[in-house]
Amino acid sequence: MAKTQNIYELDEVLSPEAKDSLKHLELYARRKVDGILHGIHASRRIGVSTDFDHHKEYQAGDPLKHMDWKVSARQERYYVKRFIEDSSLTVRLVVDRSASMLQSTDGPSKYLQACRMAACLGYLILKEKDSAGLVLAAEDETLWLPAKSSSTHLVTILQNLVAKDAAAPDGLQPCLKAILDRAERKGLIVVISDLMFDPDPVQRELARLQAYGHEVLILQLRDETEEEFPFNRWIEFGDLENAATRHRLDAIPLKKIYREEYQALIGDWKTWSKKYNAHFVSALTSEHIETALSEYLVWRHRGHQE
Amino acid sequence: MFINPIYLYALPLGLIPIIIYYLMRYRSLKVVWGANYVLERALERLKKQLYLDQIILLALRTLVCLGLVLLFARPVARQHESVVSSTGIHRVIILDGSYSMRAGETGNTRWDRSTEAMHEVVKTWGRGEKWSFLLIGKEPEWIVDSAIVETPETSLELIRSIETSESRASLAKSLEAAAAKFANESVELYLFVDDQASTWDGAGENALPSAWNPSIYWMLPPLGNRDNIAITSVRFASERVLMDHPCRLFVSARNFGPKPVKDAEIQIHMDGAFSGRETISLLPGQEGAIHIDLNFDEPGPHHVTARLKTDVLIFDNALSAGIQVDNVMRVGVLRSAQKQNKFDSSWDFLQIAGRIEKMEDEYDGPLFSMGQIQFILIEGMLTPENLGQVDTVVVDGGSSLTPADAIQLRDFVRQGGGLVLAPDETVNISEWNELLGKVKLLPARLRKPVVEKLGGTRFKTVSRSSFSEPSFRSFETEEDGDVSQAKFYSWIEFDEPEGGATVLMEFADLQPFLLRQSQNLGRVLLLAAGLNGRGNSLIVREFFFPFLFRLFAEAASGGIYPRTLKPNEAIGLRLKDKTPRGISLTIEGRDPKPVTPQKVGSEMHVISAQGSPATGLASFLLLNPDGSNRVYYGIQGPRVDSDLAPLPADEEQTLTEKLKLAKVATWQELDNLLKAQRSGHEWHHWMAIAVLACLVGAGLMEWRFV
Repeated sequence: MAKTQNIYELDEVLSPEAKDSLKHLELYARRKVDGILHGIHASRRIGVSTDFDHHKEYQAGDPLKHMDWKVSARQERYYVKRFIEDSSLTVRLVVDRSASMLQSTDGPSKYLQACRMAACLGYLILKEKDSAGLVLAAEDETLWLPAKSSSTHLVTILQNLVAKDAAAPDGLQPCLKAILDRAERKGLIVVISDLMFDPDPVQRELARLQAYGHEVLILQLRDETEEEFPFNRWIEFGDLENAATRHRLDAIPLKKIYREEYQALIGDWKTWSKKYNAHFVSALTSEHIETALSEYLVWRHRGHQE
Repeated sequence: MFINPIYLYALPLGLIPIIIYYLMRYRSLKVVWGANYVLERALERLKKQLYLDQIILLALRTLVCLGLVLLFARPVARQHESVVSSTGIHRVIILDGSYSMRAGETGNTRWDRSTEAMHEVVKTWGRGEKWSFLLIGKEPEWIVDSAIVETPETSLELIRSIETSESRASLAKSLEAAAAKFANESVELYLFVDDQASTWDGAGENALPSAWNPSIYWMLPPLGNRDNIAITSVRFASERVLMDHPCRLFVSARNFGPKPVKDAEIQIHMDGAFSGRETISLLPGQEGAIHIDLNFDEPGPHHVTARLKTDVLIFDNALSAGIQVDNVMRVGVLRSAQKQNKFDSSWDFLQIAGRIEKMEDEYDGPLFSMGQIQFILIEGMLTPENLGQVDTVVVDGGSSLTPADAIQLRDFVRQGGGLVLAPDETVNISEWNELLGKVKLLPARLRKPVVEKLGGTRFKTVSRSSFSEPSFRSFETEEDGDVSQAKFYSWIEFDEPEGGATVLMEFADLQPFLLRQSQNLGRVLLLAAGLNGRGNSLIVREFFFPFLFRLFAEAASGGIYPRTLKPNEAIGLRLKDKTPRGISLTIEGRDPKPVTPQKVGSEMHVISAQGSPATGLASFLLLNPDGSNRVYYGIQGPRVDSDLAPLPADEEQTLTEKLKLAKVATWQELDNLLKAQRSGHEWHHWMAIAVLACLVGAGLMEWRFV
């Protein structure tokens, strides 16, 4: 079997420096995710027994009924039992692989940053022994990677992320519909995209997913040039997703309107997220992924505590 | 209309924004774009408006460019001629009519350019405008006085036929005249005058009324060359000469220019045909003369023109003179049969004359030809009949005159006859003083005779430098007839010359030798010596005969009306033969006018009392049954306006400031200046506001996009 050329190196997507920086997040993530998710799952699955998974040191707030007194007596420390269904979280990383993700401004493209985000999240999730699955959404070219919890699954995720570059037209809406149609286990749907498409169909699917019980996290990647529209002359715009689509126009009179529309689109997503209790995080491609994620995770923890 | 229409050539610059638009559009930057969804949303919102905004912005930018061009071109709204004008301004044209305005190239003289510009100015005035026209020459003349414009054509008709005059112009007088006439009116003065210092003399000295502040526009076409030489006089030694006898022509010329002139050529034309040339060199301001001897080989009226080669002012480059050429001159000598002894002197004279006749064949040259001079002895009483047979009468000292003789001689002279008085030591002084003085035939009263020993050391000679008249100027050189070589051992002393008498020649001690006095048509020549051969050798040596012939011719010249005149001097002609069928007077440049002869005494004369108003060649045309002939008259005016020296620059500056002159060189400059100064008609400030508005509009539109 012939080896295909990867578009990125694995280290480029999940660099040792990123891992290092994520290490600090691990504690947070594990504790907070555990705390938060556990709390969520606990409120939903009260009275259901599950298979034993592992022990963990007792922390304030852990239910005493799960205390393993034998191990605690032997170890002279207190340990609680963790069951599989109590702690496992199925996270589906839905990465937008449409051609618009190729946009870049003197740095990494939106797709590379999306891959890094997905890699970071996958790393965090699998470190916590949760399940992570990957969906690379593109029209007619969607890649499905089932959710697994083994640590080696991360490699598979990374390999699939780096295998091909963004290329196809947008296919997020049918992908989300397919997730719902598959009636997969409830979990966290993380959509990593630039959101450069008509929001209504996607929002409808996400709303349905939420109604089904999934949690939705939308991570938007913004390109600086796309946001600023720094043009003061005649420009011929070529659509990355459709080579036949070209617009030749004077950018000066368009600038203000474009920026308004751009902010309106983001505002639209924020409004929808607030309405449907989803999570919306927006970051520029020039920002550090770890910073964007850590801010979200801290915010998530605070939100759970309140 | 535009004040600076040359800027209109920059109108295509208005296309620059459009060119830039299409250049930018088709050289647009290609960008691959991921946020096409947002772009399309923005486009959908802006599409129609974007197109309209582009058009408006492009139009504004184009209008700014066009507006700037028009701003520099300075548009002016001018009134159409048929619109009734309500400016209330009285427009006064002052045109210099002196002949210096004729300076310049043919067809492009200052006069041509000034009158052309003047016509253009008049065309710009609207119906109802009030205007006046002052032509300045010898005196200012109001050609148009406070007329109301109906149409430009009717206004131009009033001034179309004006011409220059042979005079100097005085702007000072004109300004005073205009100020006196229009002191209480709002006036625009248009000066079409040259920059001659003499024209502007006094213009700034006399104060104009303080309340009178006319706008004064001075159009002065430039003149490259101011070097001007003029012919100032053309005179024959005598206006009546004998056929084949050389006649000296004296031509004077003056250099009015600032630079010396070397070898300026003067051409001589006899009866219109080239006959010779001379050159003359003159320093600045110098007047000099040349002479040339002419021979007329046919009798009758002739004319001669002296002409300089063309210079900046053609007007003063030529003068003409008329001359009468006779084929015979009749000299009458008085002799009384009863008074033989007393007529010895004339007898001796006649003897010498007869001797010379016999010697005629031995000599070359017409000077010694006696065939054209007939000596006629007049014996007995003087009557009109016997006097009518001669042109000149010689009365020598021995002649005894009666009162009746004196009266006859007076009438003879008045009718054009010549009288030569040659008193010798035998003259009856009291008789002559009494008789001839009473009838005013004595240019000077006789005082006493002086007789010295013949051949002794005491004698008088005639001064060579005393020849004031061209008539005798040919004897300045050592030619035949040089009377300065004659010795006078007896002579007559005179009292002071009578009024009207001219001393033609003097003795070396400045006492008069030859005097002349005109009496009506004739003239009297009084010699201070006799022609008897005893006290001097004038009739003894053939060498002096040319002098004698000139003497007789000079006296006989009184028999014709002068052929060289000043302007406005009466032009006259004696009709000796039958009265012609028709007579007309033609003055150069004008149509012939018929004249009617009038009886003067016993003769018919043709007289034009007004003469010719200008320099040139005038002539009477006589229509006889057997043909026609002309009698020419050279009219020679003074060269009062030939000095083209301009105003000194500092004086011009002072005058400009004092009179607030606006000076221009061409009609176009004047037109632009008038347009610029007529307030209320210029759109200049509106154009500036329009350009500013377009700039602000374009700026606001662009700001709206950002």
